Amino acid sequence: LRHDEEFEEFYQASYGRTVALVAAITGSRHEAEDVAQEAYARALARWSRLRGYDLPDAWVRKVALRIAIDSGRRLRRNLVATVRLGAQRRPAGPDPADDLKYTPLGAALLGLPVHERQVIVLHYVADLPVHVIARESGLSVGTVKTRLAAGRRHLEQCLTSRPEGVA
Amino acid sequence: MQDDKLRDLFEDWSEPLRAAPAPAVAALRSRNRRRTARTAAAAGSALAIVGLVAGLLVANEAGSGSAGSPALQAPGSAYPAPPGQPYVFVNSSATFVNTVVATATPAELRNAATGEVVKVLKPVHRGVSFSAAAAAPGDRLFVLAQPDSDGTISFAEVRIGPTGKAGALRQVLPDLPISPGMLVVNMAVNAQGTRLSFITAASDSYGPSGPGGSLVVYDLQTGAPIASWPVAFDIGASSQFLGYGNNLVASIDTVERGQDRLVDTTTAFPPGSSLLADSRPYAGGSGESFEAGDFTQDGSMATGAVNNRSSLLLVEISAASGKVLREIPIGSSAAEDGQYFCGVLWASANGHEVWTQCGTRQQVIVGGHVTQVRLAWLLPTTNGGGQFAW
Repeated sequence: LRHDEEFEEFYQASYGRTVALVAAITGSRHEAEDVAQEAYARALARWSRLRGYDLPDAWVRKVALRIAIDSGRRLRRNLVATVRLGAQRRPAGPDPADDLKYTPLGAALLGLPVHERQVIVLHYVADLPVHVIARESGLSVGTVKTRLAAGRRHLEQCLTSRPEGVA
Repeated sequence: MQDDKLRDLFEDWSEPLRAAPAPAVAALRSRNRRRTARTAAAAGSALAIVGLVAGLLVANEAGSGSAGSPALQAPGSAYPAPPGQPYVFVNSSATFVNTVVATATPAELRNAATGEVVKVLKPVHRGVSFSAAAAAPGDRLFVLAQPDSDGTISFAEVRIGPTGKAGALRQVLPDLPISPGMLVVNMAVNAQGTRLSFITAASDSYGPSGPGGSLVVYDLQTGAPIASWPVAFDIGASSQFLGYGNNLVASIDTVERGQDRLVDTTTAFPPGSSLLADSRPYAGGSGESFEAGDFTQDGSMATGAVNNRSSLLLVEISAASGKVLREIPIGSSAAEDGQYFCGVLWASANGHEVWTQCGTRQQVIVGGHVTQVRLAWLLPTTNGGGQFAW
């Protein structure tokens, strides 16, 4: 019972952050929520081990990003299919799930290469310092700094060339 | 752009997302149950892979007659598939929901459509139950695993003849030692009944996981070991044979990545060999995972149940290209209450005919045409492998 309560507390406290993180990668809120829930489901199945970690949210973050980024995985493919199907059935109005893509920042983010986007998102959405991003991503600090700088430059170019929203 | 300004932009952008309410934990448990059930169903599924020369299989099926004929048979097989519907193995620890099964009854083979008991299977050794099962493509040959208290595991097979009558249960392979705490979590048998593969792993209260697992292959005719590869996984693992040969696809799924590996098990591999070195990527040549139990027997496509907001879809994906071929609604997401299985029950060799269940709704899909059916039973959600094999 205590394990359940601990998980519930962890889950409630960190879920929104994880959704935001994944949405910044995928550009879709619905997709982000599905990926986040999959990551938490896997965490729940391993909670007896994860609860002993100093930072179980780092595990969830890693799993969620893996699921979101690895476009070859079945879940990802199915999500694509689901989004496509959803688009076919969508009524005339815009789907809130796609709003993120059409904000200036969302569009700029999706224009970044995935390796730059991941570092930018971990830094600005997950609020992780460079050395933590390096450790979690298995990259050198120098590589993270290089990708951050490149990502910032690309974002700036995109945002300044499209100052108005495109929605 | 200044760092602070960019940070503010992200803060504003992500604020509504951070406020997203977390669904109930029960929804996460439901996801896990569905994954477990899928793995369990894959343990002996007649979906049992594939990929071999599709042309050969298609030609064979075309010559076999009716579209409803579910089974493929090896050319010249002494055990031609019986007419009618697939068969299913039911372990004594599981129950068909609307069928009264007395406690402590042995395992059974049933006609999957009518629920009729074809054969009652008493374990070879007294006092223990069958812990895992596998069905050869066509559902006419079942291999069952039975652990014993002396630290060994034995395997037995039963065949269903051309008239639909089951033969005697007989032990195959000598008793094999198995390490304490290890379980057989997946089994597969090829169409000819000459190769058996199984995966062992330690199990905790949340289900089997590696490291420390093994993928083991035996020659069922001679009893000789063919291979024993160490495999490490924490999401799931399964193995399935392709077509009529000895080609085996191993699906190893970890948090890091999922991959399907194809290996020819015709000749033996020396001790200490590596699955990665002995195999090559399968499925579209990409090495990406289609996850366990999803391929049709001819290897042409993968099938799976996908949650699409309020409904569940049967999605068919080309194994060659990875593209979605078709999506068919099979039920409501609300039906995933953890009581009844949701997903593919059975599929014919090329996926032309598929049986699905989601909650209490059951369908037979032939060539994309959906017919609601009411089988003699409802498959419950299972919490472990081995209760059912198709």
